[in-house]
Amino acid sequence: MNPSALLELRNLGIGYRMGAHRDRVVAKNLDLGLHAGSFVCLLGPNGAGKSTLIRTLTGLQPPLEGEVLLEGTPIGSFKPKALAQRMSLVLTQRVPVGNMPVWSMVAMGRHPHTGWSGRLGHDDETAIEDAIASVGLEPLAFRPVSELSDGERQKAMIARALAQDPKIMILDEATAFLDLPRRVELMDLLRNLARQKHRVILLSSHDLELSLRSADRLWLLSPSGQLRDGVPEDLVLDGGFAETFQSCGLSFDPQRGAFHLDRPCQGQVSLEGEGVASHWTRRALERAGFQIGEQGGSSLHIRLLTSEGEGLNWEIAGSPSCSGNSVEELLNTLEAVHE
Amino acid sequence: MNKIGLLPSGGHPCLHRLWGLAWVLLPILVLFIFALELCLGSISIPPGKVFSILLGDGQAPEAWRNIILLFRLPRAITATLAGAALGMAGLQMQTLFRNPLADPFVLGINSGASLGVALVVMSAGAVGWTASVAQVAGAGFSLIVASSLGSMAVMSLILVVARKVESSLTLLIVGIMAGYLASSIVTILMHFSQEQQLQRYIGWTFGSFGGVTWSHLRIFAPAVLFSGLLAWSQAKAMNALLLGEGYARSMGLAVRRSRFLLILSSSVLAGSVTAYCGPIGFLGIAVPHLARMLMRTTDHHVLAPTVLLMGAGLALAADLIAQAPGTSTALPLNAITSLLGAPFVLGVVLRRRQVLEAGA
Repeated sequence: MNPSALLELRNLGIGYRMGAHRDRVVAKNLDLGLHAGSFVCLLGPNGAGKSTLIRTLTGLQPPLEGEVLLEGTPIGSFKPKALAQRMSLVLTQRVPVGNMPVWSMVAMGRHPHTGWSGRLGHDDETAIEDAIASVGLEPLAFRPVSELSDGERQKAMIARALAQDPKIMILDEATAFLDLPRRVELMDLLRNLARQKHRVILLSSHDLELSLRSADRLWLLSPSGQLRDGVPEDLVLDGGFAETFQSCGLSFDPQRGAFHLDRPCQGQVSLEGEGVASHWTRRALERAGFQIGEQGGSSLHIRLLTSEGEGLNWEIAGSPSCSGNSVEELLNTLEAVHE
Repeated sequence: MNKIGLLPSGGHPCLHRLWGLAWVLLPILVLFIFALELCLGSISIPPGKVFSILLGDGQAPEAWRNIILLFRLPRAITATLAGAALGMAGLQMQTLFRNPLADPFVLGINSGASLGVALVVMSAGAVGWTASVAQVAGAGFSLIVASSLGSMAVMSLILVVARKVESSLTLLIVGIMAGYLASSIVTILMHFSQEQQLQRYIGWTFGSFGGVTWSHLRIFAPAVLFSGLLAWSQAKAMNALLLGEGYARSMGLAVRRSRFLLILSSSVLAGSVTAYCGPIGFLGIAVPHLARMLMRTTDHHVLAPTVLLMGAGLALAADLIAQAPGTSTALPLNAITSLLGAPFVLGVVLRRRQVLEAGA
């Protein structure tokens, strides 16, 4: 690993100064580094202080103690323009910009690179067009931003941040309002952008499963103010994930990398079958509150008779033997059996 | 990486043709209305004579020369400067507060000026010193001083607050509250004043470009030109502010400094217009919208010269109509700007809804 980190947190304490000697500390003793070429997701439950951390990293808020170093220099000592040449930002909220075309919006990213008059040179235009191309918005380059869908709009904002040609790009819940396919697409885009140009991209997100799949590293910020840093899989295996998101009624399933609600147990069943049908039947059973155990250990044994791609056909072996061909029927039958 | 293939300054090719056309036609239009303003009036003077008088014709009748050189020319210059100033100040405020309803007076500059004038006009009988000031300096002069002082008081309050607070919204609230305070004091003064004084105050609120003489222009013109240039120089900052202060800061804008310069220049623009011409409404809110619709852009490098030209043209046109050429009556300028302008802007806005989203 590259020994000198692009962005470094050194004994950082974040929070708010409420008055003399009355600080509200969100987290402290943070020691971390971010290296070029990595896509990092910042995860944490609501209220853990993700936004405070982001605000501190971007220099909008002074740290309570310690420092944030960008290329070895404390972030507070950069002039606004010099900082903007190294770091760019994408925020959650939709910005009403009227009939500004995508091109002009992306061109705004050149702000810290142009002179007093804001005149765009040849390099600026190349950077703008590269940025538009790398998020795939060429066909919409002259469309007003107000006519774009939410996903395209956020891509335009990312292109604007790219045109700024930063070493580090920070996105504050930038995928929050998008549907799943758009989020997957955007995460993939961000990861590629980090790799290709050796940038650091830090995204704060609520999307655990997607972050687990896409990010090179995760930062887990827990409500207790602890920040864990690691490769996603390591954090799952060492229990960091479960601990960070620990809360009543919810538990993390390391097998599948997802959370499920703890429900009162309805009983134990066993399931025999293969493929997609088995996977979704299992989910339905879990949702209904059944524990799925070994064959023989439980009173009810469900056998799936379908092969791949044929819908569902099930039977329950046992004294009142019955069968059916939908998940709904299966759940109704099990409920009836229970009562 | 495939090229999109664009023109040098990056806009859509069609827009460049539109802008090129506008840069030629707008100045011609403004010059034309300026000429009309010189030629038309309650006393009819043949256009040929008007121009020879302007070129220094000593043969023309003394009365005509006085009308053109001492009344119509300063009046037309005042209207041009005031319109341009209000258009620019309106654009600045709409962009700074990202609010399409903002006008040059959202920060209460107007109310400060009204308070200054009301104090002078209505307390003239009651307080000895204002009366003597009015006698010594002449009535017109004292009104200008009074409204300048009023505008400057509100402006300094806003500028002091602007240096302290982070959020522009707080600033807006301070401005609006200062405005309420000033207008309530004006109302109380009105309650205790006599009919004649009321008349004089209300006369001032009608607005007029006619009260400005050459010696006034010696202060008014440099104030407008200087702060107008200062405002224009902030075009890049205004573009960045379109995305909000968070993004603007992330793009390297020193937000507080830019905001201070924007408020300073727009206050001087709006304050000096109010001081010399009275509270001229409507132009400041309408001109930026019309400019955006005409030029189809939000780029302030294009909008700044456009609002200057359109503001000047509209102010001249409104004054022309208010004078009701050929008759001896003159209508209140403020009523004309809104009466003719409001339905027009309403029509355009309702036809193109996205303008409403155009926070700026």
